[in-house]
Amino acid sequence: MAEQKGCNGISRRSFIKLASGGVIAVSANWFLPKFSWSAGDEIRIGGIFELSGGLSTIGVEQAKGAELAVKQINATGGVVSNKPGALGRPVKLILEDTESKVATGLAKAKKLVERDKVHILNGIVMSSISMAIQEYIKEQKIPFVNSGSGNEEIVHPPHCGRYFFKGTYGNPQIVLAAQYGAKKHGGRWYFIADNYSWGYNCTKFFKQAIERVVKLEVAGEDYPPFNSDNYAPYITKIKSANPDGVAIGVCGGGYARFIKQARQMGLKTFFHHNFYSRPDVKAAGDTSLGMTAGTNFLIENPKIPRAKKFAEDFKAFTGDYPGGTGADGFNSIEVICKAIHEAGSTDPEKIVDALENIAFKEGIITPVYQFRKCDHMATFGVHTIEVVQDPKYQYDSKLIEEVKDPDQLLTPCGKTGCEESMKKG
Amino acid sequence: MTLEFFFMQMLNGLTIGSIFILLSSGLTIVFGLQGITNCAHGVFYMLGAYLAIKVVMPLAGNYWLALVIAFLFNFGLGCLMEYTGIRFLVQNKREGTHVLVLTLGFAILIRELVKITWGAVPQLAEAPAILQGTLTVGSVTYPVYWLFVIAFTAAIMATLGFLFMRTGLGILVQSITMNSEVTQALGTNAPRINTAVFGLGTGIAGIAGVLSSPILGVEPNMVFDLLIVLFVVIIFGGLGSLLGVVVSGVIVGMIISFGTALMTGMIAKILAFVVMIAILLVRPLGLFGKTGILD
Amino acid sequence: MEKNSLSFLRRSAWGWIGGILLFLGAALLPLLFELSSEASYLQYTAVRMMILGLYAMSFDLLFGFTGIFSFGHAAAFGASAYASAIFFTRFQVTEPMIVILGGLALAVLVSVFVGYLSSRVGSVAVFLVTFASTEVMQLIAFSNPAGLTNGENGISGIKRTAVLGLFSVKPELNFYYFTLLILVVSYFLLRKTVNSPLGDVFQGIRGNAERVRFLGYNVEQYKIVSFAISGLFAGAAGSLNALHEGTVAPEVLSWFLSGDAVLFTVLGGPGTLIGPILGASIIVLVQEILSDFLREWLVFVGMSYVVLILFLPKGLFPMFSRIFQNRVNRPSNLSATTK
Repeated sequence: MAEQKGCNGISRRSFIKLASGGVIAVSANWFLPKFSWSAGDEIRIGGIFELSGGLSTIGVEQAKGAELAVKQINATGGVVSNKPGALGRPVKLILEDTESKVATGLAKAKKLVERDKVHILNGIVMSSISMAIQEYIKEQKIPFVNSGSGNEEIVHPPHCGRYFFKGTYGNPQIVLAAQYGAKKHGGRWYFIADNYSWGYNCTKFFKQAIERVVKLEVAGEDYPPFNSDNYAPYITKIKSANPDGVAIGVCGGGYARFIKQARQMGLKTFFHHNFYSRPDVKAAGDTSLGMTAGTNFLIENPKIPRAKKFAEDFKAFTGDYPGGTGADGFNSIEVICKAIHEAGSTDPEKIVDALENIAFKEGIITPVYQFRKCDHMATFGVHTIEVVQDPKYQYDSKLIEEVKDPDQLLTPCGKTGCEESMKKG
Repeated sequence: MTLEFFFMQMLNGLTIGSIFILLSSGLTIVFGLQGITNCAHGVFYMLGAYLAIKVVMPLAGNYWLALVIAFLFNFGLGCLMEYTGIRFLVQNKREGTHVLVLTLGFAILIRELVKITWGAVPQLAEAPAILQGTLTVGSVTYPVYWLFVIAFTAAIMATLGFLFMRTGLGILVQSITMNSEVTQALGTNAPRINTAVFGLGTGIAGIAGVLSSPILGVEPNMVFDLLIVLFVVIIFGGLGSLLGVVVSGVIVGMIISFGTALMTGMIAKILAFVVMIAILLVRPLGLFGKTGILD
Repeated sequence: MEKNSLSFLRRSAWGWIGGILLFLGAALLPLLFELSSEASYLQYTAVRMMILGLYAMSFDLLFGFTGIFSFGHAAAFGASAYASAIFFTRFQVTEPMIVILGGLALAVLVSVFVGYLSSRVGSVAVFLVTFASTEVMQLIAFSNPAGLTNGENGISGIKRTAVLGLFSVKPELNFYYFTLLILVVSYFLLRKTVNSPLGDVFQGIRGNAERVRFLGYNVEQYKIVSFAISGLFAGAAGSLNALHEGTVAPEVLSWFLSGDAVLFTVLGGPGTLIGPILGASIIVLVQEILSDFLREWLVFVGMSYVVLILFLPKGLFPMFSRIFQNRVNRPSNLSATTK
């Protein structure tokens, strides 16, 4: 039988030599411990985000927010300190992509903690990845501030713990924005949400929220697979059911697709989406106008003048104005750096103590940003917004009303079941 | 279930079925008659959509031009792929699995290149202005553009049908598959015809990409998203049969549409797979299949 | 296969020597890592390579030796991973060996079922049947039947205890050796299988199934056996994975994991058993190194497969091993060649 021909003219031997040389050179660089000039000096934050895959629409924005915060803090100290950096040390954000997969996310988290020796982990949107990492940091005793997951399950037992903090809003808070639409249009609602735990929770809490202000009548509920191409069958059902409003818990690619397909098909019913997301609303274009949604961040927030400057900086940095996720990513880094600065050290235990006690007043999201001691969930205001056409901001979020009691659906402290896991040791 | 609901779901089934039909038509000829497992078929679907939304529409703003360019570009690219990679493997009498690996590698490669060039964020295109809006007949309201997709697909399939059945092209392709040497001895330039037919299929996939971009959206995972449904369609319809693809595409579209509405999307998907496995076990020829590629 | 006896002896001697060198290298590697400050992470990555290598090697039996192109190999891996996870979390089983056995049982069961379906269709349709079966399984996992699989969040909190109550595999170094042991044992078992009469039947089916049928063998049954054995070792990899990562999510049943089995094997060299392990290791290494620089590092993978299948379809391992042998043999002595 004929000998195997080598690649295009290069003799097999030289090819092997070249290739092995290359592999060895790269591996040597990889296997040797990382060496950097100020390795002991800098504050290292492991930024782990969904930069590709199903949730990349929000993951990328979240990462950009974090990068901007680090940039500003390193330049002037930002709102953290009056010198560049935090504690007078440069802040380094090391970015990793979870690829929207649990195995990859966990491997990257390990890499950040064990190879890059980060002092704290930050980021994430996918709750399944978050939970896997939460398990890991429990053993490693490294703090992790989740700045993107809306699924409040991550602060339920057995996932909650001393080292884990949930930085952005959860479903029990954000759904309250639907109460405006219910009061205005009526109590007969159709619920459509992604077919996984975040989606089920959207619908569950939507119902609770609406029930508190009007008599709820469930016209129907559906759970299309996450990131479906084709929502037409569901839209047809909604049309037939003739509800007063549709409560939407669809994210990822389906966010824009559902809205667009629905309006294309002539469905004129009032829409309320769980959360306002600028990239998704832009993708849906004109079909998203008139929809209300919940958000924790407003660019023009009468209580927080700084938010507008942040929005302009964000636009200069990325080319577009931020939605809620970009703000969350930004805010989370500021909170972390502020905590480290107040702790006076990068010792994990001190960072955790500082985070538990922080009352961050200079943030862009809410007048006073803090974590509940019982489950490390962040609490802040919730706004009902409407998507409107705006010459400057394009598909902007216009404030309709601020929710009066944003904690009304939260499990009260003392009953969360997390209290035990918050103890040291 | 009201009559109006039934009609709308039926139209939904036809719309999504149309996309299946267009994509499957190329695949059934290539897989069914030429015996090539082309995992890269989705690449042409994706590139058609991306060309439209990222190149032609921003530059020229003409949707019809986008359709034409999508066809020509993907026809050319398909011919290129066939002429270089696939023919090389076939002529060297490599195992069928090698073609599968080649096309799979090519699909991954192009998908990542698209991600690098245009990012991974899903987009939705705009339907052309004259096709926007809805049409109301009685109590049924339906988007004009979606009706257009159905009509346009019918037109393309009619043309293909004519091409294959009336001009003898279909018989030619089949005879090339059955016995290439004899067919060539009789004067046909078999390799060139194989290439052209392959390119025709991929070109139509490109058109499908443009057509579906305002409905299903545009993202790099388009490459693999629908692939398995397409195989269900062509196996059900019978390999190598365009008529089979049309009938089967409509039926599968209906199953997905009604199945999703009446059960859950997940059960509809499971059902589709179970149906395919059953068909492969019981009647591999499908509805109208002639050749025995599958046994 | 021609067997020039002197050259054959030489080749198998060098095969043994090469194998022993490889094993020594693998055994000493984690100790080398211990010197580094990131020891645990390096060992973790090496274990990932071995687990995926075991997975790919199991696929080689099915694809490289029996000639069955399955595109659903993740079924056995994922079923075993889930079974292990459920054993640990639901049934409170902490002994790793029992957890692994539980996983193996389900993996073999699933493989026999899929094998049965696959044996009844033509060779081209097998890839569709296997693909569809694994997709159905993944959809079932997502739908969280009887609250067992926990849907898309998966099952987390799987802990490593002491094997047989004696040897704790909690430290990464220990788990490395545990995995290495299982990998080496699996290799020998598989090597014995392919060298046995059973292995000859498998290879016969790969070459010409009809001829094997005429010789009186029930080809369908043998195909199912091939599925079962390869499923067993894929299951071992799946269980190890569950213990190693501590988490099992629906992605263990994804079609890209099935595709990985194919691609690792094609890269490394089908029909060699060692080749797929090499292929898996290379890809993990490439991912580790490249993903820092390029988020779309898969583009190089796609490119490699195109280049490889066109110009180097036997994969990298046969090439490396021939170089190794060429270096120590005089070229004129090599008259026998592999198939």
